[in-house]
Amino acid sequence: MLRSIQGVAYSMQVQADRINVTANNIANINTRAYKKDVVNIKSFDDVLARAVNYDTGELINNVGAINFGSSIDQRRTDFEQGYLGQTGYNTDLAIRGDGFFTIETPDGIQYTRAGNFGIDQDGYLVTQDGDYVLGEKGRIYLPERTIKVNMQGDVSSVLQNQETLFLDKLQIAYFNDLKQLQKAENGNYLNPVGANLTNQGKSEILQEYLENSNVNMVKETQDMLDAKRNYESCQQVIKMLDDTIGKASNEIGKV
Amino acid sequence: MIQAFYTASAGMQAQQKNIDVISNNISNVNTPGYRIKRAEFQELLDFQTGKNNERVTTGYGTKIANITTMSLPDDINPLGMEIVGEGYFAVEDENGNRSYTKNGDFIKLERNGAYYLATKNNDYVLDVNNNRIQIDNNIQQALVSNGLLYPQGNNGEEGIRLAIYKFDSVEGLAMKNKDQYIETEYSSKPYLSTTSSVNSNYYDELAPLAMANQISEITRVVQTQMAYQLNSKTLQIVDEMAGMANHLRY
Repeated sequence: MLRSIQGVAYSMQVQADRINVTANNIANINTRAYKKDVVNIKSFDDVLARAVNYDTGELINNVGAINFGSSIDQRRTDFEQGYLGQTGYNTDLAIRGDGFFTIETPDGIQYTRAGNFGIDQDGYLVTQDGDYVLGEKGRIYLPERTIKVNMQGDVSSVLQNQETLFLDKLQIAYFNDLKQLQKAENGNYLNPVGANLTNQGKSEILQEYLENSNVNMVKETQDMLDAKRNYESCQQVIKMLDDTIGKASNEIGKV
Repeated sequence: MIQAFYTASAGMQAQQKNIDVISNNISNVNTPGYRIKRAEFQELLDFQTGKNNERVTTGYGTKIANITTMSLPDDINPLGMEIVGEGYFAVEDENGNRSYTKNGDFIKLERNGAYYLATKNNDYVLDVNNNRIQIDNNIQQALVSNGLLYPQGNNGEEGIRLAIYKFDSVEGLAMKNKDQYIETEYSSKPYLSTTSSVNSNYYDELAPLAMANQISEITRVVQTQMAYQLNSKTLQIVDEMAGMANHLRY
């Protein structure tokens, strides 16, 4: 009996963890290019229950498999494309496809899909944290502080005499296995397994667009209500088990 | 469990700040030269080291990482001018060949270390005395008052009156390129207009821009409100769940 209470209590904890993740997705619904987290739930390993003779220790028969509840297996990031919204500012870039912008930070190379860039006082293309956006030749210097990017990711500047000067091509990174990517503090991604990079992949760069988060409001609300109802059921079961134990301990033998 | 309380409230606080930024933008739609500000969100992450030394991250909400001031779009020309009344600007090329235009989308042209007011195809703009107009390199925006241009920043210098010519029969003008014309024998001689004057059209160009921004700002208000609502819903649900845990035993 007490064991079943514990199993249900684990399940309550799992539902609470689900709410934590959903709440974080909802909080980041307006974060540029935010990728939602999804939880996978697993049950504890099954154990085989056996009936044995107490006196001799002899096996009578196998009762069957039981398990003691569930836990969070893993949290993974869903890299589904977020929808692209037009902003009208030419330092805003969005990727349609599966690539990532390559960023040079004080902590090394990182990757991001949030293209809300800016031009710093020295004329370099930078992220919101002031980290450099990399082209194939390195940091991207914009001599006239104007930027034009085509679908292939070629960056050019419009000079004062209206001529376009080609500067560099954006360094777009592709990965063999997106699951290997880890989130960094600033919303960028790290590639701890260095060999994960590949040149297989297709992307289009859209200027004056930004990628929005891929959080689906309806899905998250549904998830949250689902978790809440599961939580409620578990609570009811615990109450019921508690009542049953109460009966066993107080009412057996009562005249 | 309790984490989600703080996650949702962090979300609400960030959206509240976002609304502050947007409302400031909206109240400045009619401010000439005002640059739109935009709040940039960032996920809040907590780090732990897992059992195989891997990084386990937990998101606990969002914050406003930065409030960026957006630049004005490229097609806004601070040196742009327009003619009030009828007439044509007089311009000449390097060799002194005169032509006439109504297009006041001027730029600063550098020649031998000096800067001149010029059209986009590098023709010099002329004043009433048929002189090219020198402009100080630090001038970012055409300063025009009472029809006079102050190319040195209005530091006590005399204003320059731009040449505006009229023709008795404009039908007789010959087209030189897409917006420039030259006089012909049919167009009669050009004469200086006494009634027309010039004005900076910088702010006029900003007006449609402000209008467009107003629409996108309202869209963002709706988005923000939605996100705020959703976060408060989370808070409510988490609260109910905490209540259930408290009522396990009654």
